[in-house]
Amino acid sequence: MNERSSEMLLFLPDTLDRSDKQKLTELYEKHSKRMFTAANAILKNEYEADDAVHNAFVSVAKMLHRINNKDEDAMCGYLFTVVKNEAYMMLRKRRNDLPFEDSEELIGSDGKDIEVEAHGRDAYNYAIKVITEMDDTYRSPLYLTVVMGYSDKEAAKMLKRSESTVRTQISRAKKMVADKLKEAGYGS
Amino acid sequence: MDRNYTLKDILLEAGVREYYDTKVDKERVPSEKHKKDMEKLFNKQTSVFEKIGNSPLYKGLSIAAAVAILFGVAIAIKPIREPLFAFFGGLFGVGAGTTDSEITDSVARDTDTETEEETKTENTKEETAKETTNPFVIPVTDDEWIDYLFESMVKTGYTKEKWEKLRSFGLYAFDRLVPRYKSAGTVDYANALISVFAQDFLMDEIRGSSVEQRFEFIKTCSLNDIGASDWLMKYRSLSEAYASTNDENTVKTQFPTMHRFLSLVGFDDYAFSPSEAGVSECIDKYISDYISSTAAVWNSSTLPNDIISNLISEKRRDETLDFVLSNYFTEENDMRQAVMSWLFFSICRLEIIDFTDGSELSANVVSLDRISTNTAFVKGFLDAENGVSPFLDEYTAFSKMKAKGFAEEIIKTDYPYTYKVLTAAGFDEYDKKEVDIADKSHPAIKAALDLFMLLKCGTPFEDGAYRVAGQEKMSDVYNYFCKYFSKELIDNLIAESGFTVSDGVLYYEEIINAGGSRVRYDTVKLLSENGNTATVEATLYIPDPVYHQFKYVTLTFEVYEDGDGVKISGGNYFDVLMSPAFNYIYSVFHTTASYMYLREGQKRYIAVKEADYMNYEDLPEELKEKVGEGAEFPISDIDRMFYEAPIRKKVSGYIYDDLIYRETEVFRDGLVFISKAPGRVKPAFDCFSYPGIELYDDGSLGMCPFSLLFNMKDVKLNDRAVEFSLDFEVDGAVSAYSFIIDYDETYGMILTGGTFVSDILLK
Repeated sequence: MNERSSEMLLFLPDTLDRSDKQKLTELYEKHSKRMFTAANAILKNEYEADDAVHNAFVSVAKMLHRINNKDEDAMCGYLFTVVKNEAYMMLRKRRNDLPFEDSEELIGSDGKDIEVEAHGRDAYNYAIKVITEMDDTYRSPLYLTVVMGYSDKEAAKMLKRSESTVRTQISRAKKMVADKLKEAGYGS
Repeated sequence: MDRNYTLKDILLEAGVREYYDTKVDKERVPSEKHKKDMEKLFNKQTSVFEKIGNSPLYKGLSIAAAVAILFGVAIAIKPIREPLFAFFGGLFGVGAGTTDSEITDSVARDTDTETEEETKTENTKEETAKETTNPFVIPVTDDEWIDYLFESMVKTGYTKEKWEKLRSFGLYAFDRLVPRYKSAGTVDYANALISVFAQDFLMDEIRGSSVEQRFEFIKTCSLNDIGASDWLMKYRSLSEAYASTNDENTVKTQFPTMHRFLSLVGFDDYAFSPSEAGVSECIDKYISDYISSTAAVWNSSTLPNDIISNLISEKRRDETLDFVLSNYFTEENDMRQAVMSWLFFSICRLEIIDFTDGSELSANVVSLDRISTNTAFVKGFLDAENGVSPFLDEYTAFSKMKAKGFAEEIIKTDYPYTYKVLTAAGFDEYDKKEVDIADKSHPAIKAALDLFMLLKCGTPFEDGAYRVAGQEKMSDVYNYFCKYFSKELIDNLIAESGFTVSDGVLYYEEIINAGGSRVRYDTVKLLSENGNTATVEATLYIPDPVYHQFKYVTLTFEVYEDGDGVKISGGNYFDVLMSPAFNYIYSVFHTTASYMYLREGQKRYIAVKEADYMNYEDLPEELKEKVGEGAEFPISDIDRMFYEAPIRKKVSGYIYDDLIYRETEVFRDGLVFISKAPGRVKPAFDCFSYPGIELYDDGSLGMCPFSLLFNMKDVKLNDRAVEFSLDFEVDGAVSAYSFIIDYDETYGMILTGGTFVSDILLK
């Protein structure tokens, strides 16, 4: 077990009851192979990817009470968000990179909450394409807040970023989608 | 009418698509470490460390440790040291000489004393012997010397000479002293001596270990932060925690002194290691640990575990099967017999599927195969009162019937596990016909399929080849395949497949998602023979990543026989399956199959939905049992009772796009083109695993059952076009359609013609 995950185990709540553990096991059985592939695509190292999956489930275990009622579709994206974030953190650690806050120029957000909506199937498909191609740096906080319903603060904690960084990233992500839709002629 | 989609809809859908677009290597096995980590997480209880940290004892010890540190600091100051030692010396009976060397110093002490010259040791023996409190008892044996030195120091205090002499006995002294350690946190001088003495050996091992990082936490428990006497107790708790999650052999290999220590303190609770245990022991462990503890929540996905996986691994398969065949029939314990039967099935099912050739026996085989995913059966299997599962008996009967049609050599080569079963059952009714070149070509055809799986699907070939992270060593590739093909043929295939070789390693690129299944062959028939060369024809089963139904195609192999056996030189197998165009054929094949499932499903659903059953005899067979003769007729809403209700699932926009919207949209231009890579089509159809589909306005599905089988025939390739035909077999009724795929400069490969387009899509 790597240093970080052993640390994390110590802080896992002891409140996981039998059904929580069952749920966690089911999530693992069902999703871990794909999560591994996603992590391995980032880390290019199977052993580290295994660790990333493990770390992701440690995080998931902590939030189990919040995600128990989420549907299957939401869980797919959530688990990918978590495992990719773990993988990126491991990658940064490996490369001795700076954390998000220090390496990113976070300007350009006017703080307004932009509403994003796609009118019609073509716009919907195009918006999905935009999200799919979006850097995980922006997509992760967006997913955690919009789909999973976490607060900015909770998302920041999960992603190991500052709250202001997360707020900025969410705002910029929404703007990106809105701008792209507009550019493609789908904007209102 | 267009609807509005929120950002949440968009994010959700993007997440789902990305998820399903991510390929899964179903054959990859996570590292042992990962498995253990996850097991720990799933079974997490308050950890040993937390318990220690939260316990009153630890808190007490923390205070003791703090006192020890203060004490350590204090004794470093000379004006304080001497009065302190005078005090503690009186308290513990420590005599003169102690002030010259503190126990705490021993951690940093040079440990080279073992290299002291023997003469010096002998001198010390004499000197220390003189100090004995009983002048009439002179130590002679090593045991007496160790006891004397230790007790002498306990009684009269530590001296460098005595300490080094004790050290000179090495692990022998370690073995003798560790059991004397009073591990209940006793803070006395004897305990401190043993703790420090043992620490030297244990810390040396940790420092020198190649897995030092993984054991970093132990290093932190030095005398710097814990009292001398307590170190060994802390070490014991840590090493026991470590050993309880690692098997004994691992601990013994990585930390031999720790293993020695744990033996001395009577620890015997190492993690179970299937690979270190015999088959019988593994079965018992499996029953005691797994079945009894988790049977209540078992389902088909939790059935396999480490023990079963180990026993059916390629490495142990033969050993396990031999054990099962030797013990199954005489085993009196129902549970053990059931597990043996399951092991047998798990091994032989690898071969069972090869027998599925559409013959009258296939129904039996399918029922055997499906048992593994039948939750009700699994539950019954776990319940010993329900009797032992019939896998072995049933399979033996089945394979006896099947093997009659084959020469013994073929069964031995193609179905080695079945051959073992038949041999154990005393079967000797193989087909006695003369073995021809077609029969002998089976191993070569199997290798050809392995090469296909390697180059097209990224699946490692068998026979113990080496694979790391999506790469294959070329030397392994040659070693295996050059027995059956020329090196030039392999090189050409690799080059044509767009794979690269660098520094002796074959690197994968885009691969087909084969859904964890392998291409298999069934009949091999001799078409023509000319001396030692021949053309043979084989029916291949191509795995479908979605439905897990078999799609088959018949292709030829050019073979020749030399002294080493049959080799393959060519045939349209290589032209078709190994060509880049195959990806397009596969894609068309796949999308067509999806389309037909949808189409047939709709037809069936509508037929059922519109049916008005006036009496019991009108009911379809599959509904008679469910409805029962006593039902009130007429029944018109029966579909809602039995078809619609069980499975309703949301249809994502993605599925809709792939199957209907996109194709019909493109179709307006007179073309249906398949632009997606085959692997990427998969996620769209996951929910169609149960064929027979009705799309509802609210985006849900209704289902009704039917069977659909595809047979690809007459595949022709040229530079710019591919032609082939497909037989659709729906519940036994066959209809054939042709396909023409042309190359288009703009779109690439496009489905442009054939009766499928004219009769199905254009209608």
